[in-house]
Amino acid sequence: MENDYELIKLFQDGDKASFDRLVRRHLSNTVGFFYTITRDKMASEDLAQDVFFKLYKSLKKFKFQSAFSTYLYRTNLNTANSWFTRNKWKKLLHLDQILNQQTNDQSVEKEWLNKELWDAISKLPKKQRSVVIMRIAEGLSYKEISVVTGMSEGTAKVNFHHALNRLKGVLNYE
Amino acid sequence: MNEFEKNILMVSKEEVHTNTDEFLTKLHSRIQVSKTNRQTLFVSSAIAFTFLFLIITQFGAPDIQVDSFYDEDIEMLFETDFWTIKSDSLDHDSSYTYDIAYFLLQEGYVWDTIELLDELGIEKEISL
Repeated sequence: MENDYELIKLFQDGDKASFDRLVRRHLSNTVGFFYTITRDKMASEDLAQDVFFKLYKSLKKFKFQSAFSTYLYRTNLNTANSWFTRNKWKKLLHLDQILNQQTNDQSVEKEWLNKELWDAISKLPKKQRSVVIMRIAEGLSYKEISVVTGMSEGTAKVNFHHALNRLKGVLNYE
Repeated sequence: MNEFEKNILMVSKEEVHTNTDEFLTKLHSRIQVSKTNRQTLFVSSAIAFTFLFLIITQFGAPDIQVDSFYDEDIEMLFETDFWTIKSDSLDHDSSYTYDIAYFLLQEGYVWDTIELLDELGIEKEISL
């Protein structure tokens, strides 16, 4: 079975099927990543479409200087950040509908907390938000986050710490 | 790692089932649409550029110079030697000849006027 680099090399040489194999390999992780953020299956699949569409166009110029996973994480992060920006106003409009929901069921309550958390994350500054997304949705270490975002490990830690303090305030956590 | 951090990191991650074949079909149709759009854009740009080029070059029309409507050699009119002029005086009508004679008289060329009128009379006789 070919590794990511071999599949990309084949794709660059004109083998379109190798791109499909690459998509199949990383699809569930990518959709899962976006589902953690959006809690919406349709939206997460659409965002995954955006990611693989971008990859289709950019992989022809891939220089094999970093791991494909890093490249994919970066694309995921950029797409997620764009989604947060796009949905700023949309979320404000939906806010009333969410507040009217009755939360007797435990799973609904959990979902509600998740939504609140991601609403709060979406309001963080971009650097802090990026670190939080990578840490929570991808489960990356600070070292991996530093490779993906281009900031140092220390900066990633500091940003995460500041983000947590902000989130505590917004979510009224004691 | 404090309690809040632990809670946040425990945020529920559910496995989402995605129909891969359907996903790939959608992806490929999107890629195809993008390619078609790019081709349409390229052809439209080429047509627009051609039209722009033809408009700028006036569709190959000759370059008409407006300044050809006036005579640049005004000095020639004053330097004209009426005695050696290479045009047939009979081509001009009588009023034009009288105007020339009148102009010569005003300038004081009396004898030249007489000579002109005389010569014209001779030429008329010859042509007859």
